[in-house]
Amino acid sequence: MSGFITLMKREFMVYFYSPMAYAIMAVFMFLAGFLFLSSLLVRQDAGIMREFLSSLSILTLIISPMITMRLFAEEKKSGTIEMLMTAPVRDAAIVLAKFTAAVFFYLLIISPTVSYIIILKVYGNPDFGSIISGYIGLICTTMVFFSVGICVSAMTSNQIVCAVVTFIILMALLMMDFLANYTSGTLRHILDYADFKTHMVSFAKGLIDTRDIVFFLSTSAFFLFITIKAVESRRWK
Amino acid sequence: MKYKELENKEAVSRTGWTGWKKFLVVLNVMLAIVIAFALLLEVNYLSSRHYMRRDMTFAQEFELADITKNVLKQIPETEKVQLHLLRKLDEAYTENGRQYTNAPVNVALLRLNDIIDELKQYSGSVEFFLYDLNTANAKVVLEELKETIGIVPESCRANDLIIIYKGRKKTVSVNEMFTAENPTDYASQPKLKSFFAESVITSAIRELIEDRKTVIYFMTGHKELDKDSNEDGIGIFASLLLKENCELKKIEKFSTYSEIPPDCDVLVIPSAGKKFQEFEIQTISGYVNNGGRILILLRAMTDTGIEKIAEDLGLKVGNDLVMEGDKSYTQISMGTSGLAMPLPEGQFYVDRFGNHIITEKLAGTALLCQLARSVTPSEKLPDGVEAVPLLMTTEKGWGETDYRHADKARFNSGKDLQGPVTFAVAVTRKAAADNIHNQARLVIVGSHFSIEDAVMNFMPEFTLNSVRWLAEKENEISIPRKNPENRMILFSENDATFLKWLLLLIMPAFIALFGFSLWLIRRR
Repeated sequence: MSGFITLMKREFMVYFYSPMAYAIMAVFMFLAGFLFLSSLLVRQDAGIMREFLSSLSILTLIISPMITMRLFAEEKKSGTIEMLMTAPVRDAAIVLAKFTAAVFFYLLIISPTVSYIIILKVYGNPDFGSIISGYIGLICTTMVFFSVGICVSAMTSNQIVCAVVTFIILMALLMMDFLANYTSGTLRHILDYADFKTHMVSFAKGLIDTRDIVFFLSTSAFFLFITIKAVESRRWK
Repeated sequence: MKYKELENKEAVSRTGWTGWKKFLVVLNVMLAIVIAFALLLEVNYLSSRHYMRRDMTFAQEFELADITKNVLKQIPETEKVQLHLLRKLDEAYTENGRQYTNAPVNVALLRLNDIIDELKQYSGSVEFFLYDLNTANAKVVLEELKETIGIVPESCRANDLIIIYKGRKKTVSVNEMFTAENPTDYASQPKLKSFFAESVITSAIRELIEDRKTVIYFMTGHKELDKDSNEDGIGIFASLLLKENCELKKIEKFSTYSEIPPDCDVLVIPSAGKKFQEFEIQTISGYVNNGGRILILLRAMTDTGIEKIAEDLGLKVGNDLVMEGDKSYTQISMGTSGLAMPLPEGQFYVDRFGNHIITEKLAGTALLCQLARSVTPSEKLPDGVEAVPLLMTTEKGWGETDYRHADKARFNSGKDLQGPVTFAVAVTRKAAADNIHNQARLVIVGSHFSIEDAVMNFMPEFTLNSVRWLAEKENEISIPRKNPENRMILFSENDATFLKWLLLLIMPAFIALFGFSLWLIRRR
């Protein structure tokens, strides 16, 4: 456990060694601000957080390959992966530490958007229940996006390839309903259920459903499991 | 090739693993991944069978009404209800010389999508099919509709929702599911004033799945409130009953009837203003004795003889006017301003409900009442009769006997009835053994206000629950829904400019500058 915490701290701090983290945060804030403002000025309704959080999920889809691409790929390229692999920590701890640090970093990036709720409170009467549910959904979605990203990162040493493949996989996961339209019967039900959008939209609407939570957490756990196996594979290659 | 061999040799010497052992390891990992995937499917399958869903919105916007849930529960697992929507989004439209980008029907279609999602989530028997008429090949889409469900394209309109159950079809239009509010200024877009897709769809499904409608007779001929008259203001009550798959009929020329029609499930006597004849009272009494179901709404300050029905059941109908002495029940608060306006004389809110299935789900709500007379169960009721008070005032209320000077009304001890005053009662009476119903059911309300549009618009549950109980449809008794709060945002042009600067420049720039300076400090 202590190995996990040490590694997680180290991974988290790595983001701030270069000004890149702040640059990402600043760009993210600008884009998030633009999305929020455009919804606010058009609809003039405190219920706009639903649209905003949905848009933020799409923004996360774009930003997550950028954050996760370096997690293993960079270590492999720079050769530091050998040091990491010989450290007295389990592979699962390494993977989970990198994953948790990335999720925390993302939470830090989105944390200024909480100020938007204050703005809504000042000028109107927002529905806090749906906002809380929307943020829970955003965190769940982020966990899946990042677990896919880290999984791809563990399998390649090229960061660009990693980002592109992650993006393609995430897009495919988001387009399950499109595929479902061309199928029928049980397969259609499975694809409908596996459609990310349906689960994401529920949260944004203000609905907390155990099926959505289980779907996101289990999918995330599955990709992390593959990542651990991919990392382990270095030992027997 | 040579390089590969060398690499293999190097790997073998490094790990001590031969090719066979490596194959087994890879196989082991593959198997582990397959098992993990199977576990993933299993966990999701189980969670889809046993789940909890919580609506976090303030107004419980996505929580289906109890009645909808009950209707969906009636659908056997082997049957399906299909919803086919011919969606056509309105592109930009012009009204009063101004172009709007988002027509109300588009907003309604979006919200309809939410409702259909919830119906699907709640019941596996609901299937949804969307036909997009905005595409260039809309004609092909309609032809497809003809093939799949046998609907002739010519009979379809844009934004029709066709509901099919066991081959039976019912078409409702999305345009019937909302009312729109035109913008008051040039800066805003039109908004939905009300949206009732859920009740429209539920009503349509109900019509398809129920074999028989509940028949409700309205008494006429004694200056009762008329469900078909625009002046009497009970049109909403009638329309809500129709939505509950009821068939509404009138008993006209009651004097020619020797008995209440045998198909009558519930008889409504809506505030008679003229005396009943003796034989009419006897006919109604006979109906009660035979297990009849009646909703009687009395008129204050007017005796029509119908009071005798209540008195035979051990109730005392007061010749008074119910007043509320607690000021917090006789005024209305003006939004968030903290100001309160007094209600007109004789009007008051009721939030004290009796312990009865009709009112048990109304806890925490308030019903507006006016011009009520007291209806009090006697201490000793006749054999086989049970009476439960439904609506009552606070302890500070009273039954004003000097109601002709209601403006100077105050409690006179010994003369007026002391609070809490009951003015609505649910009564059951054992019926003779050879009747369809083993008990008669009556709801007697000392005021007609509860069925008027002014109340039905905001709080229809009390009256509807009464009719549901009378018709033995207790499973449809529902909880009042919260009205979605107005979440309009008001800001001036200056505020908008400030927000633009704050969100697009100040906040991102602050983060960038902070990060850059921190990075510079670290470099030194």
